[in-house]
Amino acid sequence: MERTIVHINTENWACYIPIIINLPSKYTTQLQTPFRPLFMSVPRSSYLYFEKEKIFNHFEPVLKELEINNKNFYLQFNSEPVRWNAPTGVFFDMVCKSTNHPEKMPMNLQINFEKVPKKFIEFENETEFYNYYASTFKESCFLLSKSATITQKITENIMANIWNGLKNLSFDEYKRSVQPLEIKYYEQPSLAIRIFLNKQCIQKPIKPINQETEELITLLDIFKNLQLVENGKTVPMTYLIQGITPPLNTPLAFLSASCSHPDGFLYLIITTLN
Amino acid sequence: MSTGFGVLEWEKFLQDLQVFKKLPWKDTEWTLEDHTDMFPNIKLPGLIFLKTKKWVLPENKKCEQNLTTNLQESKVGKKFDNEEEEKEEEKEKEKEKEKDEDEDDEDEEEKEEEEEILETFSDLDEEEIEDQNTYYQTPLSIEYHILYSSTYSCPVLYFNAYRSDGRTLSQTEIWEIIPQKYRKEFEKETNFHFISRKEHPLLELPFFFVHPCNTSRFMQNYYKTKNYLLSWFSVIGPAVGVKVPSILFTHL
Repeated sequence: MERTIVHINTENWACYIPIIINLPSKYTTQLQTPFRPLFMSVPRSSYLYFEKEKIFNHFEPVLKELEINNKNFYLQFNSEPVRWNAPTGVFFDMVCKSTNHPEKMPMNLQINFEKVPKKFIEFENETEFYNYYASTFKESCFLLSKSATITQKITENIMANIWNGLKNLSFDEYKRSVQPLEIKYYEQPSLAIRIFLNKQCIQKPIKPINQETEELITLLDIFKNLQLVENGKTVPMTYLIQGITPPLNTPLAFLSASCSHPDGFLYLIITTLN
Repeated sequence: MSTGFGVLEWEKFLQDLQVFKKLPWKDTEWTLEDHTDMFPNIKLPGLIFLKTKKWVLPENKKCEQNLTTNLQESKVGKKFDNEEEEKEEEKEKEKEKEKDEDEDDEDEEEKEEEEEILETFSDLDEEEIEDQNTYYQTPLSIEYHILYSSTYSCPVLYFNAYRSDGRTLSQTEIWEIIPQKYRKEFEKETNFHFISRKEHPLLELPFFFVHPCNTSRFMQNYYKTKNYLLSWFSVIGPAVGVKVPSILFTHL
């Protein structure tokens, strides 16, 4: 079982999403030289924040030509702003893969240099982003162990190693760094799961084992909990975990162990088709 | 839910919240807004918050002394001290606002407050006025929100600070409102043990929050308290620049 979990994790960490970053027409009409959009392959498990510098460097000549002094930018998919603090795969599943959009690949993003929307978390530097990632990781660890002592175990060194594992996109390094925390996925008091139901985030502690029947909680049980099941069948909807649709009877503990993101959370993206 | 000492269950949180709201906030410099009915249709624990708001001056500015003495003499200084009456008025105002869902009133109120603060500047020399008008010396408006964390089974404090032009403070600037003695303590470790930035769970705006992982640990010392929320607020408040008024404790 352990080998399967490691295998699935390695596969998830090796997944890439192709994206194109385009300039909106309001900028291209002002340009004299022809403009080439930026083609990138970004890891599903990582964050677009790490690519920020690369993106900015590509667009710098355009900024100079348009005489824009603003160094802050944000990306949009249609009119949906890309949040830097969400893993790339989560955002992609939520806006691109879940919808009936005919062209799902590559994900077509637009860059914008004007005033960043208010609902946006702006990370001024990498330290801020690191702090954000670290506090999310701590939260997921706490959910998985439900002991206050786990937060003391996460020392600066351990957190720095985990961070390096994420930046280098190496699941081996990440796994070795997390080892001292001794997180056991099947004996955990609750699951670290974030459910996006129609783009709204729901996070609540869910136990992996049903206390009455002493069976593992499955996806179907979660959907029943969210009132998405009628007459024994799910309502018309799509659901994605790491870009795939596992069978309804998959135990969540298994999914949590194999398909969690580097911040420790399992992201379940549900879109109802109404 | 989690068992163990120092945690606050959701039902108990609601009970403590009712008592917390009825404390004599009007006798203090705080205003209290109750947004418990913000999301009546969604039944998840944690979807309520209390909001307090105040004007403060940053601690570590050189001209601070001039400003504080002037303010104490002026109308605005009195506003800081006698927030009882203010609170009653504001509570009524807030109720009306919530009914109307009109944010213009709030802006007007803020403008009025700002005008009163600016009036005191006329006592100073012109040069000093120019100095005071520089960006870092404008008063800050700080909002504190009390929410419930179902992950850690305890209350969690979210806060944001705004300059008078409405701009929020960044992660480096937010240390302005943290008292000097705590800054050294927390500058030793990386910030994620203390203050981080996160999306407000209900408003979905970027807010700062005090990390709740240690809350149950220090709250174990307060197991005899009549009101968990007040004890918690009195411990965590000072670390983020809140001076919890002592009059609240006499009413428990």
